Order: sequence, then C-alpha cells, then structure tokens
Amino acid sequence: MNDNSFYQVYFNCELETKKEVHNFISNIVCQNNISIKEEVVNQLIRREKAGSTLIAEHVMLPHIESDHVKNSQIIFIRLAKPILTWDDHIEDIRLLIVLLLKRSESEHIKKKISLFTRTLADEEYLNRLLNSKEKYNFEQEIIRI
Amino acid sequence: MSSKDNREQKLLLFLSKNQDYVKSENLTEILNVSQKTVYRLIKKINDDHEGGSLILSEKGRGYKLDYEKFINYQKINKKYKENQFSPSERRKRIMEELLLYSPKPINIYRLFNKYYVGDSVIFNDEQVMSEELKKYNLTLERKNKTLAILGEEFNIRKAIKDIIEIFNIIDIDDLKNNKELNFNKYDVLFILDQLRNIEEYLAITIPYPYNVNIFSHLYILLSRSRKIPACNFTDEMAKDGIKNMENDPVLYGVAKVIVNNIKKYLNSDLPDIEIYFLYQYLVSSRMQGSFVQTTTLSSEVIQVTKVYIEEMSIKLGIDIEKQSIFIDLANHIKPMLNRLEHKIRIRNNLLSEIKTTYEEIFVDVTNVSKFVSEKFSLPTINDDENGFITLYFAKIIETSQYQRPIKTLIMCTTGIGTSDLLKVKVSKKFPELEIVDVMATRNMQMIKEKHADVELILSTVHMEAEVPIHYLLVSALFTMEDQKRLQKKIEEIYLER
Repeated sequence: MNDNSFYQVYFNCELETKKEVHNFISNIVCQNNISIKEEVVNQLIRREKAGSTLIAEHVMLPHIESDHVKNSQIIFIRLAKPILTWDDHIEDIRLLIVLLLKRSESEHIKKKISLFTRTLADEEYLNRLLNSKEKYNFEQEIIRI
Repeated sequence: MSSKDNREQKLLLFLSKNQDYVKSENLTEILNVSQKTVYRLIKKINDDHEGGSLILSEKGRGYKLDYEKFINYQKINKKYKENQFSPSERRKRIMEELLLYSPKPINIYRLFNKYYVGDSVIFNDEQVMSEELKKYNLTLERKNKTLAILGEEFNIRKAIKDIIEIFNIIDIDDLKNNKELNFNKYDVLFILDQLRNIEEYLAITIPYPYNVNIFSHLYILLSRSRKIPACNFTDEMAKDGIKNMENDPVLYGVAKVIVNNIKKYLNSDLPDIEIYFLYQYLVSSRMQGSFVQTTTLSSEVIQVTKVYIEEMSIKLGIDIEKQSIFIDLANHIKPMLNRLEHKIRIRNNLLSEIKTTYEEIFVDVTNVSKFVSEKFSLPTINDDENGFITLYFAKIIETSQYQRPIKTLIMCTTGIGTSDLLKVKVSKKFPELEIVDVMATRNMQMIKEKHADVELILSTVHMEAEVPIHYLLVSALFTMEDQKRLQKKIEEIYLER
C-alpha cells in the first residue's frame, strides 16, 4: 500500500492521547505547514464538540471535509495500546477510522466513501478489525471490502 | 388454571414485554389487585424460583424481569410440574384415562390409586368432572365401583383433544425428535407421513395450527381404535353433511385414501364415519397453495369478511385498504365457518399473549364477532377464534399500513461520515422511516428547496439553527437509549398527524 492509495493502514500506532492522534492525522494531511495543521486539528476538535464520533465500543470515526485535503482518503489507525481516557466521556479507544474528504469531491469518490461507511454498521466486521493480531490480516479485511 | 396462577402468568407476561422497570402502581392496575397482592405475588414467584430472583426490584423504579432467567424458567417450568399433581391436574389425568377407554368402565380404585386420596375427594372429583363433561354432552356414569364416560364418539374425541394438554403444545416440526412428549414413536412417524400425503395430494401446505389439529385427530383416532372396538360408535352421520362431502370429490378422495392407510396400519377395519370425521378436519383447515386459489369463496364468506373489515375499521378508527387484508382474512374465515358448523375447536396457544399485547383490538374483534354471530345466525365465535382474527388486524397496525412512512433526513458535518453509518443502522431498526437523503449540516438551507416534505431530521451533530421540523440528536453508536428516544419521537409524529 503506498501513500497515495485510497485506504491507508497504520498498524500498532504508538499514540497515547487524543492530542497525539489529532496531530498524527494533521500530519497526514499536510507535513510542513503549521497553520494548516492547526486548522485541521481545530476542525477535528470542532466536529467532536458538535457530536461524538464514537461509532462502536473502542472505535471512533473522525471525519472532516477540507480544502487542504488533496486526495480523499480513509485511514485506519490501530493503536498499539488503547487510549484509556479519550476525553471526559469516552474511554478505551483502540481503533480509529479517519475519513478525509477533499472539498467538492467527485460524486464517484463520495459514493465510494459512503459505501465504505455503511459496511461499518456490521459489528462483526468491526470486531474483526479490532481483533486482528497481524497487520497482514488487518489489511486483508480492508481489501475484502 | 386457578386465578392465582393466571395472575402470575399475566404478571410475568407483562413484565417480559417491558424492557425497563415497571412501577408497582402499573402492576396493580393491570392485574386489578392491591399493592400488597402484587408484592406477595412477586415474592412467591421469586421464592419458587430456584436460581435466584426472577423479578428484580429497585426502590423508586419498580420491578423488572431478569430476562435470561425468565427464558430458562419457562423451559424448566414444564418439567418441574410433572412430579406433583394439583387437584385439577389429578382430575385431568383421570379424565384422560376415562376418555381414552370410553365407553369401557374402569375400576375406581385403579383410577385413583396413585394419587392417595380419600373417598370424599373422589366423590368431589366425580362431581367436578361430571360438570366439565357436560360441556361436551358427555356423562360420567358410576356403577359397581367403576367409572365410565358415555356419549357420542365425536364428542368424546373433542373432549380428548381439549383436555389432553399435550396436543396443545406440540410443534409438528419438533415431534420426530422430541423425546419428552410421551407419544408412540411409530404412530407419530406414520401420522406425519399421512400429513405429508395430504399435502402432496392436494399440492398445498397445511399451516400451524391446522396441522397440529389434524395430527391430534389422527393420533386420537389411532389410540381410540386400539382401545375399543369400532362397532361401539353411536354417532349418526348427518345426511346433509355426507351429501356435501360427496360433492367435494377432491377432499373426499383424500380422506378416503388416508383412512384406508390407517386401516392397513392398524390392521383392522374402521367405520365409514371416520372418513367423514377426517373430511371435516380437512374442510376446516386453512390451506396454503394452488388448490385454495381455485376454490371460490362463497357469498357468506365474502359477506362475513366484509363485515369484519368494515366494523373493525370503524372501531379502530383507521382506513383499512380492503385488498390488502381481504384475501388473507377470507381464507381464514372460510374454514372458520366450517369449524363453527361442525363444532371443531382449534386451540390458540397464543391467546393469553394476544389478549395482553393487543387488548383493545381483541375486545373490538370480540364485539364484532358477537355482531357477526347474530347477523348471520352462527354459533358463538369463541375466544380462540377471536384471537386468530385479532392477529389479522394487529398485523395491519403493526406494519403501519395505515401510516405512511415518515420522511427522514440524516445529517452530520460532512454528510458522509457518521451519517451514512447511521442511515444503515436506522433503516435496519426502524422500517417506518423513509430516509430520503443524507446531508451535510452546512447544506441546511437546502432542506426547504430539496426536501420540503421532510418530517424528521436525525443528526449526529448538534444543530445551531432552529428548524421547524422534528429534530433528534443521536449518537453514531445508535445506542438502546437513542432507539428509545427515536421511538418516542416517531410516536409523537404519528400523534400529530
């Protein structure tokens, strides 16, 4: 899987707090412009304030739409260790599925993303993602989509 | 069943329908007893239950059923009862024995021996049984320290079927493997084979409970034929009935074939009236398949069905689209009229559940049934039948056929993340919602143009702007709590309509 692919997997990520996760995501969007990075982080924070993105136990679905996103992507972050306190309400996060959406994205890609999010309604599928021990297995689950 | 048992049942049933705690005031209302009685009843249920409390209580919240235990309890309950006999159970067992051997007399000592009861109890039992048998036009005769039940064969079989409980709980698909039921295995296999034959000859399937009904009839026929010689039958065949049967070559033919098979199986002759008995059951069963469609509905069936639909439509205050229910209901009414005429009773095992779940519909149906009986000069339509009819109308209400779906819009910040996920979860659980679109909150102002008729907005994010549309904030998790709130919202919308 190269950097440009639609799906990206970060397995056994050593991230320990919400802040680290946000920085990590912003780094994916843009590596050198600090103000853009800040904006991305703020956007993520605003989205979470508006409503929780927890979609199942241990799983979050942060998502933003932004001009700074060059190519829409779906990013899987499987944490090496659970983040036990995400914030005051949310605990024990183990997997993050991040949707990065380019502003005015084509209908085709939008459809692809929305098809993907629908598969997340399947708890079995989420459990398999949560429980795969090897990166290879994890990726196989994603390829199967 | 004593009224106390009945209350216990009702209480458990009511609690099992409520996921949350139920206030004790509600229970007193439902059971129509005092608070103390409710308390005692619950204590008794919990004390009787071996694996800890079946009903949980919490101060200020009321009572709640431990659902897992309850399910186990229902399974165990039947076995547990076998070891001891209440007086009514004792009488039932004795009556079973007498009925199966009727008209042969049985020694009283032999009958009551295993129950260890005295003469006065036996005397009392006789009175009670005698009273019970009157319902079937049967008499209990005491002669030289023996008891015998006398009456027409048709009535005896009817009584057997009603009284022997096993016939009311069997599940045809389960029969072959179920060892708890004390059936003769060869008989069971033989009869199941005959049922299959009937279905094959007619190219139909016989649905529950009619299959159980025919099964029971045949099983009783086998047991009776072995115990008493056939010539003892005193019944006279109604001439009209036979004429009708002969005019129906298809069912008549099948009845003949099956009775012939039974003769071979029993290796003894059977009187012709058996063909007539079986024919009655076939005519009174609801059949599904091609055979049914070719038979036309009589004008009486059509009239009765129409009255039910019209009267229920007024009583329930809803428009019932005739086509949707007419064929189904008429296909039920047709054999029901036959059952009424031939006094064949089918047990409705779900009756108590139907009564509590669809109480109002059931009461309405009962009233309409009374009206129908008078108008068409039919025998009284009993509660078992009313229960079945109730389900047809409950189905209409449950499937919300009269409620058009609620046009719903789902939103989140991007209109593509959590909202899409929510869409799948919501449409799975709430078919009454029609999800017209998934949108991003920033496109709010487009609602008016694009979806003027939307009635409900579900959103995973908090909305700043006020909208004159029902709105509910739910989490992307779509938890039980969210589902309950949505259910409430839906009811609110229905009410406003």
